[in-house]
Amino acid sequence: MKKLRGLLTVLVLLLLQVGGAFAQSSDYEIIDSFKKRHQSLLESIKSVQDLGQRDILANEIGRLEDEYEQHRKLLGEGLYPESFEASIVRLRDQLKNSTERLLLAEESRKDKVKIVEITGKVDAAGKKIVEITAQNEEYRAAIDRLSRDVQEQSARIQQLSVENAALQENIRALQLESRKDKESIAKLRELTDKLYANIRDREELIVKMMDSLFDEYSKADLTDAQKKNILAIAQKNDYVSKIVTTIDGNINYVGTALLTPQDVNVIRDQQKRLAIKWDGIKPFVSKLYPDEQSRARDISMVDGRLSDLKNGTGEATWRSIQQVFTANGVAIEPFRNAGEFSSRVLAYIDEQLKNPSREKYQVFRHKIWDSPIKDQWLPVIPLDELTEKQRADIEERVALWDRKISAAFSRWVVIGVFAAAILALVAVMIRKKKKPTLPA
Amino acid sequence: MRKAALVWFLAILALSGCASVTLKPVDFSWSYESVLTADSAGYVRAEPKTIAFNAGELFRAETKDPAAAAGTIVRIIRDYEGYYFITAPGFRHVYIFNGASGKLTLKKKVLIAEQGMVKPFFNRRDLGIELVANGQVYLLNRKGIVAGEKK
Repeated sequence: MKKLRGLLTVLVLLLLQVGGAFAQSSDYEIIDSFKKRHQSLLESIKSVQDLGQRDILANEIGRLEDEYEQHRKLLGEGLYPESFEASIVRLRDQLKNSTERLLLAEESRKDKVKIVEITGKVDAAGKKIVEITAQNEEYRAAIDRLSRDVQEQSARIQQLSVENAALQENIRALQLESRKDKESIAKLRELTDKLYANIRDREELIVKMMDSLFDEYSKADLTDAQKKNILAIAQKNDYVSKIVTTIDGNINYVGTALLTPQDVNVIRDQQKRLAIKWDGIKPFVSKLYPDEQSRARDISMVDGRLSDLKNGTGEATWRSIQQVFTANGVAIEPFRNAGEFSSRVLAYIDEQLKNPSREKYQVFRHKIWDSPIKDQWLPVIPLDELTEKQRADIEERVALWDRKISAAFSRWVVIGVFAAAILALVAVMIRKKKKPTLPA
Repeated sequence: MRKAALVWFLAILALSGCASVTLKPVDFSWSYESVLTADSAGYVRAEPKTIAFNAGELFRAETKDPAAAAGTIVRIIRDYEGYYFITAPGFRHVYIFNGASGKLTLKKKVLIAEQGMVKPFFNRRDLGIELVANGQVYLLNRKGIVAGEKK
């Protein structure tokens, strides 16, 4: 029996020696370390801050359970009345509670973030509303101002149109009188200048009106309703009709006026400006029409009027050039373009070459060709209209005329000298005959 | 006479019942040791269910200085039979006491290490009390070392 007890004792001691990490541990310390780790875990679990920590703690519980599983019985006594299993369950329950708390907190945090986000959106929306309201106020003020401007411009345009009609009437009356006195010519010129100034003013106003409406309409942040308002203003002020009237005014002007080369330059620039402006606002103007038919009709009308204005300016230019000939009493066949001009001038010179007149040459050369045609008018005529060859042909013909005139002049000089010499000889002979003879 | 005989019979029955009540077996052992810190007077006391006593005498015996007890850890465990095994770091001995009538009576003083023990501790085992000290494992009972060798 004693041997058996001794053997058991040795076995126990052997087991104690090879018993692993706890083999030489105090049971008290095993229990104490378990309690401490348990307590530490419990506190950590209670204060866990996120799901990542939660996972780490879950692993720690598992490890604690694994490590102390072999001391279950000892711990059962050391933890009495709680058991080892119950203490592990308590940890897991606490972890579960903490997880729920975390999830709730997370949910709450998400809710808070959402609330902050929504609050932010509401604030932003509020600011946007204030901004839009301010923009609307500004827009309303701009529309009112625009409406007033357009109405004023419209009224002024109307006034200028009435004035222009009266001026044109007066000009026609003076032209019909065909008076050539200086006073009538000055009056005609004055009326024409006034009419032209009015037309330019009106054109400026129209362009301004186009710009005002178009610029406002082109703003990127306008709503559809705001755009409709602008279209309504344009429709109310008969936008297209005023453009047509202005172009017509120009056409009428260039149809009757006698232009200077400077006028031609100005009118051409304006005509180009108007054409460019028109191309720019066409998309806007297109929106003024509810139906395609009237839109196409009016747009092609304006296109046609601009083309007429271009042609009219050309005709006015040639008519004004012709007036230079007429004013100097040079009878030349009428011409309306460069080709006709060239052929009429050459025909005139050729006619003169048949019977060269020094006086006519002098008038043509000095009062017409050299100035103002050559030095003022030809520079405003594009080379593709009156070519270099046509100009050279005329120059050559004028030079020929010049040579003929010079030759005739020389001949007359020789004749004159000869005649003078004969006259002198006759006079000498007569004096000799009348001289009394002295008595011898 | 018969009456007197009945009285005697009942008295004998009653007396014999009182004197012979014994509860057994009893396991007096503690599952694990108590680790108590002596105060400045050498008293060790701690949790409920743990004994309290003056360990000054033990320190006097070990170090000749009862004041050395102050702040020192004392390790106590009780075996199956109810004997108390007491030692402390630096002690050379394990003291085995029998506890009764408000006192601990030394049953056995077991020399473990002449140079004194470093970090000794007790564990209860089925065959007795295990002592681990200076890296050595001993099995003790009320008679002393059962297994393991002293150094």
